[in-house]
Amino acid sequence: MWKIFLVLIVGFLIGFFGLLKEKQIKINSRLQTVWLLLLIFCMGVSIGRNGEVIKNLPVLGGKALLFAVLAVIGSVAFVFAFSKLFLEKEEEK
Amino acid sequence: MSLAILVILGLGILAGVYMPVGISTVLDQASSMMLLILLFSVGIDLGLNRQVFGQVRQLGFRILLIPFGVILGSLCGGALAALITQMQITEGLAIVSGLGWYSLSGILLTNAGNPIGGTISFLSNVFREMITFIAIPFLVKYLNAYSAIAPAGATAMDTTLGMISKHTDGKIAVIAFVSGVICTLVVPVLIPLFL
Repeated sequence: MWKIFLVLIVGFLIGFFGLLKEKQIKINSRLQTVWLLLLIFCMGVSIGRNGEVIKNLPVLGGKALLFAVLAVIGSVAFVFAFSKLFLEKEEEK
Repeated sequence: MSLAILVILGLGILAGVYMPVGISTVLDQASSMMLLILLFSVGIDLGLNRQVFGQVRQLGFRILLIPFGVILGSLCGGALAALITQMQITEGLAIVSGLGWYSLSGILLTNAGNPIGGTISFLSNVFREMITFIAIPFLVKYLNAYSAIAPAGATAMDTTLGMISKHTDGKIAVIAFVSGVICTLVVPVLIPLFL
């Protein structure tokens, strides 16, 4: 976990103190999409190579998916409501 | 973007199943490196946006509403899913209390003597992360930027932060990171409550 904080802070400082040129900033922004897609691919590989996931998918996958979908819908509903009620109002002023 | 992500995720999973273990082990380890590179890049973007922390500070304690909503909403969803699948409500609550942190949630339930619950929790939190990647662009488009933080849960501080940052702005990315850290700290306390 400390690594995550470290890279974020180092990146932040580089951006904050303007160590990059306009062109490098654009490249960074484009590379971000590349890293993101590579990360997602590697995460897919991690799931696929995990025998536990593949073995249990046919039996417990349906239930697990239901839990995931409902937890996501619940979270989105509450966060959306809270943001409308308490966070966005002020921004419109 | 969502379609591209779905395709790449699918290809990754297929590759993970069929490719030689040697290569998949390397890629598995590469994913933590990818994550750090991505977050470094996100960090640069955040640093460039100098007003970010002022905007976040304006929210004050209200920033806590986001992780609070994530936790409350997940628990409601878990209770409903338990009712539908005729499982015990507490077991359902424990399953969703992983908030996307699949490795920990699976282990905690399994070690508490519930290997089936542990497996469901592990899988459902893996699914949660996958759904998050696909849902973020839609949530930003049809609801609002804040709601894009919601599905991410604990992963908003690492794996899904890049995705959130890409589709929203610096302010939302910082809020997402804070929410992800809080969720991550809450998970080890929340799961044992329901065991």
